[in-house]
Amino acid sequence: MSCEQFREILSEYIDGELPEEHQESAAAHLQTCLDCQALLNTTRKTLALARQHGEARLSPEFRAALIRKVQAAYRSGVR
Amino acid sequence: MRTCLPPLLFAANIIGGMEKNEADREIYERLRAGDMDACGECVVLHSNGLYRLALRLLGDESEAEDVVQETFLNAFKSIHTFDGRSSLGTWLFRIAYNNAMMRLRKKKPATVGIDQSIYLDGETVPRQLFDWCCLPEEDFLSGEAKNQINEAISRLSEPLRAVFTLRDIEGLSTAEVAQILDISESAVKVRLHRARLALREQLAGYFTEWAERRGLK
Repeated sequence: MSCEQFREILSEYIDGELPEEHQESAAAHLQTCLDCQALLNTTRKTLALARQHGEARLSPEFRAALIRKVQAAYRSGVR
Repeated sequence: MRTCLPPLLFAANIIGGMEKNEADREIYERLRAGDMDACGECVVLHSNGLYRLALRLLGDESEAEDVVQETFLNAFKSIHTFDGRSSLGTWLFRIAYNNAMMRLRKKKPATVGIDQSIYLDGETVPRQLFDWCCLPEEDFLSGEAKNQINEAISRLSEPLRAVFTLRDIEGLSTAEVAQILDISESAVKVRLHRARLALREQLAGYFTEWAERRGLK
């Protein structure tokens, strides 16, 4: 497998969605290619950081008020 | 070969998604039976995810709150029309996505189409290949790092940002994301791949420079 081919299947490799034979040849390429190891490591780290830092949440006050409104909408919908 | 993530991170995410789907099914059955408490549980289960999607698309907290509220109110007023073919969560995400996109279209000038982005549309050839995972963990936890990551996500084009948020931040499956955005599963995979590479490239610039300053490169 070449570096270009590895780049093309990087996402599927990370998600474990590759057919077994491609998974094996990607793993073999990674054993000898430092650039692709760096690409894989830093892509995984990017995803972990995005998840870690992307945890925006609604305030408890907003959510409590929303629940009351949703219950009223539900009552009107099922009537 | 050195890896920089705990193993099975993605598998854990998938298992989390399965549990959410089961909770979703139970809430749906209770809503059909007229159980008022299920409304609150539905809001607790899905409101933060809907909020994050709207916030990523619109970039405005107040507007994102409006999208969440409209989504739930519209959905629950017409809950009898929900046929249960998709999960309740997928249905709500689809309503929220359409709602956010409508607002986004109103904001953009009429001459700019929704797919003609002025933002990053996906780098496919990496230029920075230094492995910055060697940086100490505290460097990744700083407020500056957080800002870099959030800015990098906001610079993705809208189609890439929507897929990335739903798939990698909310942990939804490829099939669910395809349903929500009304695109094929292969389109989801292509966009996700481009989004991941583009984000990695942007962060690589920042963290490589950081590693140089610390004498690690």
